Amino acid sequence: MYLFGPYGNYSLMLELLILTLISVRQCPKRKSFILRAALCLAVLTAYNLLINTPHATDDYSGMNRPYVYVILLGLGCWCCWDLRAWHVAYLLAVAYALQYTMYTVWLILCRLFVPGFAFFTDTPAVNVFYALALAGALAAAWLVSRKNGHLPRLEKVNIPVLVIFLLVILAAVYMTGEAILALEFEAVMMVRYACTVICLLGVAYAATALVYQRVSLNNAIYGQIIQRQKEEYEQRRASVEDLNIKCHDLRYQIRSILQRRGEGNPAELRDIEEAIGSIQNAYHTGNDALDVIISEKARLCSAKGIAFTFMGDGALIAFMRDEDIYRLFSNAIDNAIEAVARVEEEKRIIGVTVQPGGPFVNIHVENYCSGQLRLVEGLPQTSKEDKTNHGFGVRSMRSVARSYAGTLQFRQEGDVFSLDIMLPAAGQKC
Amino acid sequence: MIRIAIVDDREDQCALLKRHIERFFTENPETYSITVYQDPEMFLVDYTAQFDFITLDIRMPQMDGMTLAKRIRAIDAAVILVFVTDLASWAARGYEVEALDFMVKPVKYYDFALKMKRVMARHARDGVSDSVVLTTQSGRVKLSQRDILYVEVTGHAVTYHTRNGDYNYYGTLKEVEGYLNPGMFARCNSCYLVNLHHVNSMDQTTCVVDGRPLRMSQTRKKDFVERLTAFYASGGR
Repeated sequence: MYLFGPYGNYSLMLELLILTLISVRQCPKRKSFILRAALCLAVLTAYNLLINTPHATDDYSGMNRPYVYVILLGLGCWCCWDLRAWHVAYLLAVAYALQYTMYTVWLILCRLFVPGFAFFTDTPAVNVFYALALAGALAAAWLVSRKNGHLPRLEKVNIPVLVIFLLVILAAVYMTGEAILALEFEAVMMVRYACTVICLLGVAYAATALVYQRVSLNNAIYGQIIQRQKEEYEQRRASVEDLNIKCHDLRYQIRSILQRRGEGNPAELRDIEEAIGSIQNAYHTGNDALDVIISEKARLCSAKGIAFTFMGDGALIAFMRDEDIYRLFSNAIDNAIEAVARVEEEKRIIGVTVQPGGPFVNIHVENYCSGQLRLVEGLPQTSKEDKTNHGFGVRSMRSVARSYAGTLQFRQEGDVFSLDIMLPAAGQKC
Repeated sequence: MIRIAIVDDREDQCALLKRHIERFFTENPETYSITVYQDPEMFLVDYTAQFDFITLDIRMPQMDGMTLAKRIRAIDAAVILVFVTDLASWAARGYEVEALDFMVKPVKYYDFALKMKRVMARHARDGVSDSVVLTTQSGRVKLSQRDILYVEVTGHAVTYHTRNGDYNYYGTLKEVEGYLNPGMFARCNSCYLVNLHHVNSMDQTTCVVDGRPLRMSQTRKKDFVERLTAFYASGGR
């Protein structure tokens, strides 16, 4: 009796278990996950021990085994991870389809390269092919499930299609089983090939449907964020203008009072002007949109005890649309604010400059940070709880940079994080 | 080596900056010199472009920092300037005199260190010895690295395209990379080593160097953009 390997009694269960675990790895866990997982594993082990005892009758270890596994694994996933029934159905369907395909691949390899191959031929080559097929299935599961962390956010799904897909796979398993009982080897293989093709089509269809859904969902959220930022900008602009008018009036009033009293000492006047200027905390960068965003973020930083410095010539980015300027700077500075919140108080410093760099405009944002930055496709991975929403800020900045034929670069040197955006100085929207 | 001048009318501010500089170079070892001026007029009388980096107080009784910076720029376009100011919004116009950045008083060490790192990056870019001696087919030539536009290799022939014409040489691009300032030159393709000073523009497939379009390879592109960004990340022309 084999325990593991191509003919092992435990193989099917282990393969399905590993494939399922790979698929589910990024999904959110339920509370007291370890306890739940231990319980599920115990049930699974108990079932396996039961069907694999020498006393077990064929009824137990026979054709219904795969279905029991699917049910047990499905309940297990549902019990340990915060998923809905259809999420679980999707994960298991993929795991089962890959497991099925893996066995077909193994059979094809054995039949091609192992002379006189039949079931229970046990040569090193057979085992090597098994390992290869298993590795392939694991890699495929890994690839297909890379974005499964998003699963719980997908509300709408074509449930009938998913159910049919799961049923087809189980039917494929059933048909193969029947074929083994009733037919000779060649016929079994023909059934197997057909079923494998169906399985793979099913995986491809389900995975692309999910990708499509995720992308359209992301686009919707992205659109909302951009819209919200645009509204924010309009509001802030109105309030900054209001503040400017009030400060202007205040200056005028103080000056006229002092003059009436005959006390218009220029040094005193200058001090008052400066005091008003500091209340206003207004930046005059040479670009209205930049004035608004920098003044706003400077105020936000001072409220949070962050030292904020800005130096730059707003005229350099006159070619940018107001909402793009707002999006770019607001996201960049918000990210910096978030990063410095995690460092010691004395390192809460953010510096922003807009300077010419040869034929480019260089927008530079730097701040202290803690930990090590992880870049995926050149974009930093967030440490925020809600990964999916946070990524939009960074993506939004990149899309703005690209829309002016510019580039965006994140860098970390020691505890200093910097973002550099380079836009062609003779910029134009493309 | 970096030569630093502090211009500030207040002695305590000068002493504070001096302490920060000393701490910075203990943490980031490099040789340096500090000269302190409490009178901007005296500084100007003395000034013969002998410094790499100057910190300027914005408010001084004799002369404000902005005026001083303009007069420094008239003598020395290359020196790195950083303002020291009471209020952040005042120094935002430092770009008019091509200041690299500014620090807010009282200068805290971590603010200083953040800006100082950028000063050092800029100094590393512009401050290193610039001239290079090439052995070409027509004899030895001394060139300023800034004047090299790009270097091209075809087979074993290397061509230096410079402002003063082309020079030929037998060798490999790898050797050439060894002589030249690695911060200033980057490959956009396996056969072109480009002086980042002279990049005019860039798109998906080409990089225009001194008006000449050069093909950019997809494999080199990422690294090239990274190095170009690093080159301009500390400002400068």
